[in-house]
Amino acid sequence: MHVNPVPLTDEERSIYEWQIWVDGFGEAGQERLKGATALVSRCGGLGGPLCYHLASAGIGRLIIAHGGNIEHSDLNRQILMTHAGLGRPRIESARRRLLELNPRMEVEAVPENIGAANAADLVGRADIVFDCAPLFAERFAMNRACVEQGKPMVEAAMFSMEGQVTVILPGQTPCLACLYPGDPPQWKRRFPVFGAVSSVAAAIAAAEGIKLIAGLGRPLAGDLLYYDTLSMMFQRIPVVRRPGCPVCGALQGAAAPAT
Amino acid sequence: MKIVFNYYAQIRRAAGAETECVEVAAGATLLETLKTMDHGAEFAALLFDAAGAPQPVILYLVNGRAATPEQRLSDGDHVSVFSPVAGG
Repeated sequence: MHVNPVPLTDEERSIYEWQIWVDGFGEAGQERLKGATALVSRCGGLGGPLCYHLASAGIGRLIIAHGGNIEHSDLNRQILMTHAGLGRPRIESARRRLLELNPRMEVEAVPENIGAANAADLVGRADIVFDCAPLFAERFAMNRACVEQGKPMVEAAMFSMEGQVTVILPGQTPCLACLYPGDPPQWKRRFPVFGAVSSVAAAIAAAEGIKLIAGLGRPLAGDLLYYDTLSMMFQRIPVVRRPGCPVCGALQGAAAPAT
Repeated sequence: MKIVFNYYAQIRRAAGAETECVEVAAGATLLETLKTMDHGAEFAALLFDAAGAPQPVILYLVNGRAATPEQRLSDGDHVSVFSPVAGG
């Protein structure tokens, strides 16, 4: 993916010293993180810790989209929210908490959820997209925009004690519509989950984003990583493009890296 | 033939079990096998639409590889059934 690296300051070299030591990452990888813009849909139980990890890793710019105000039931998992912020916009709390950790980062806080009306514009301003949305209409809107614009999308999800993450590279891997060719009729907006379980998906998704931006390791492109925290079983499941997919079917790209 | 089913996410909740072993006639397809199961209305609604056709959003794996409901099963196959999940 195309990112313009940005030189580091001496302070940043100090802050990111331990990750600069990671083999294959180095200052070059850190400069790429600093030059990258990520769009994250929602900053709740999944998007919140994901944003926090991207911020701590030194991403240059975050565009976060999330409407609504903090509710009591958010506080079991939305770790960017605070009890003192109940009733106030979630995006305000997210922005403040992220900048407390990383004041060098630019944060564009969009106080609305992503949908068909704004997805193309928001995706167009990002190098990489993280789909953490609770509703499939949002997920499909981002998927379509990412496919149309050729942007990578890290797709994360959770339910109860389970979670899953995959990386969508338009034209190379299945897109979201390949995996789910319609709106799942049984999916409910409110579902059982622990914050610790959604944070696992968030951390994995953040790591995948860092890998994609820095060119590290083997991304989950063409694989769905599934985990079950009840048994602590993790599986990497190959997934395939759906022939004739109405969203990505016309794209002819290189095959995803072999697993 | 004996087929092992492993359930995930909402399917697991609806089935009331993480896994079960099912006996079906030799040569049965995945769809035919699923139709023999009786775990109640919620389970059925996750897997089938009102007309009884398989929901296209369910991810099936047979022995770890993506499969369609029309796939014929073999004795000892392990079938994984995933329902879609989102985030927040």
